[in-house]
Amino acid sequence: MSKVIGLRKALQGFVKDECVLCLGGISICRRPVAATYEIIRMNIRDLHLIDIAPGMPQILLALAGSASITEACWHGYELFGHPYMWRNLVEKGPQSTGYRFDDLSHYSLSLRFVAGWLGVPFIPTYTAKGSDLWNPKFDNLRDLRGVRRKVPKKKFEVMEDPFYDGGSVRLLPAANPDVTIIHTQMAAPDGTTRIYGPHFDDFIHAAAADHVIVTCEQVVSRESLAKGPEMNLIPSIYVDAVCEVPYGAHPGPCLGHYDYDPWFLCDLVKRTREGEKESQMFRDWLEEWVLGVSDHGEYLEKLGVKRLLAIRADPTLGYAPNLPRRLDRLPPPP
Amino acid sequence: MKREDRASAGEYTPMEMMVVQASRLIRDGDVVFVGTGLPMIASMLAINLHAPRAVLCCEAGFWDSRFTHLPMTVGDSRWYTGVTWCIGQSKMFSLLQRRRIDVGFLGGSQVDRYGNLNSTGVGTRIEEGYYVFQKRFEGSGGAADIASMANRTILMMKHERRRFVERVDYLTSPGWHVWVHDFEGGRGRRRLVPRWELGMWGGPEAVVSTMGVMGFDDETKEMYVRSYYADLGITLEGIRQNTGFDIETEKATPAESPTLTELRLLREEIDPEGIFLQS
Repeated sequence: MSKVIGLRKALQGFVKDECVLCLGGISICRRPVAATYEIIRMNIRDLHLIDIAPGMPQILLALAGSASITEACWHGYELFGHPYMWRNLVEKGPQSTGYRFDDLSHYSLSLRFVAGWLGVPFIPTYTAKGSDLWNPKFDNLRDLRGVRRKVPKKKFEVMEDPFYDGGSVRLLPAANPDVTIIHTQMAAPDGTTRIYGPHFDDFIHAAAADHVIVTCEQVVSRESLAKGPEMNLIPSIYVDAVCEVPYGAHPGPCLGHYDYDPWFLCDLVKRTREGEKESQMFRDWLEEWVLGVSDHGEYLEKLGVKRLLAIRADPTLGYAPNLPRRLDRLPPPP
Repeated sequence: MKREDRASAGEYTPMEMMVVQASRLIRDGDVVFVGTGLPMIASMLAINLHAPRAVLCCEAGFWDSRFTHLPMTVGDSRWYTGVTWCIGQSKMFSLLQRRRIDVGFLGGSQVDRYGNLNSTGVGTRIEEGYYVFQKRFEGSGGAADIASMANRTILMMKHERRRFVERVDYLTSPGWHVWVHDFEGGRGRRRLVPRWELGMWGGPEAVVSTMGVMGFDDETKEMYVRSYYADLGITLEGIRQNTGFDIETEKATPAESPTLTELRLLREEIDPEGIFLQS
């Protein structure tokens, strides 16, 4: 049975208002960005994002008003700049913006997904003892706990190790997103997914979710992926939909296919920096690259062949060795 | 070392000095947990010189990378070159909980005398039951995990009075004595507790700042100045003025400048593109 379907149709089938959504990849790398744009175009609202170290797509979902809750440990673009405008949202707080951000640590989020994957309700850990991450005063989901679907009743619980002499451990609630969307290099029509290079935590993100949408550079045959099955990260059973979306992680890198688009990222960061003073600057960007563009095909046409060729990866190295990387003196965009 | 092997003042930048000082704290055979940026460069320098058997691992899940171009982000495809394992962050972070990571690097916007770090936000306060900030930063990332579970940590900081503070506005990453909450009592009372009393291991070894290298006293676990960048015009008085708490300077000695070899490696081999050490 083929699970290959158009991106919009796949999203319409699974991503609804108030959905708990997780996006694969890490930071700004191998993120399902094309799917994120499409979610913004579909005007889905009140999303609850749960992600480990979110970058550009989660920032966009917050700034575009699609997400109202984020549980994460970080938001940013790393060397490309600070998460302007997003930080303003968090500085003002939910009482004035309606957007809630709740801080956790990287590993505690990983473990919540591990518990979700294993099908158990919670998992113990030693991590982040002594941190304000566990300060009971700092819980921006406190009034949603026990009220909103899939928001755990407590942020954590503390208990003594009942089996050995392990001392005090913190129990963390499992995370089971409604939907996880992953971008990868290749998948088969039955949903079998291969990730070339670093997996990040994509298997756990997928296995913990109720539904999984895989967007990929290329749909390949089941027979191709049956060669070297140990290289397949996600088996077909977890996957609901497969969408062929070339350059679906642009402007982030997808190993073996393309590198960062430094021009695009620098422009986005600049527009959000200006947007802190004049929000129209960001709304114009959103109109130019997301809302005013009908679909991913039109987005790629707008970027143009020269840009796509400039970021094309050396297939052996996995990245573009001659990519201009001095962000303070980038040449004009091709 | 012969004096002529050392660079003289004016031949290197404060940033290069920081990287060199941090690199000298890495021991041969260390498993080093880094993100991108200066810690990554310091680790590369150490591997090229005195710590060839050190292993560089990145929080996105790259083990023992031998990259030829510097990564710009934690998930950068450049990490992939020469790695022997690239399995994912949950497995990499579990090495911390298994006490297998020797040294982790941390940075932040505020640090206190016990090495508690804030990389979450300043001007933290509660408004209508929610926590908000005067100025918000990117957030903890893996810092709290590294600070609580690496066997030792090295902090890298800009040395300014507003950053070396009496109390951090938000305690992201625990140092030697942490402010904990009286959960059992349920009153949210805060008290200062040594980290080992919470069953924690590890702890900050040093703070490499833009002015010098600070250690932590064996007994009191309070920060003191170990060395200062005299060649760059830094004085102990200057450090005291730029530190928002009383800091002991009696044991301090002038820091040893970078060697010409260290500078050549940094500029020609490690960051020839000038991505992090931009001049």
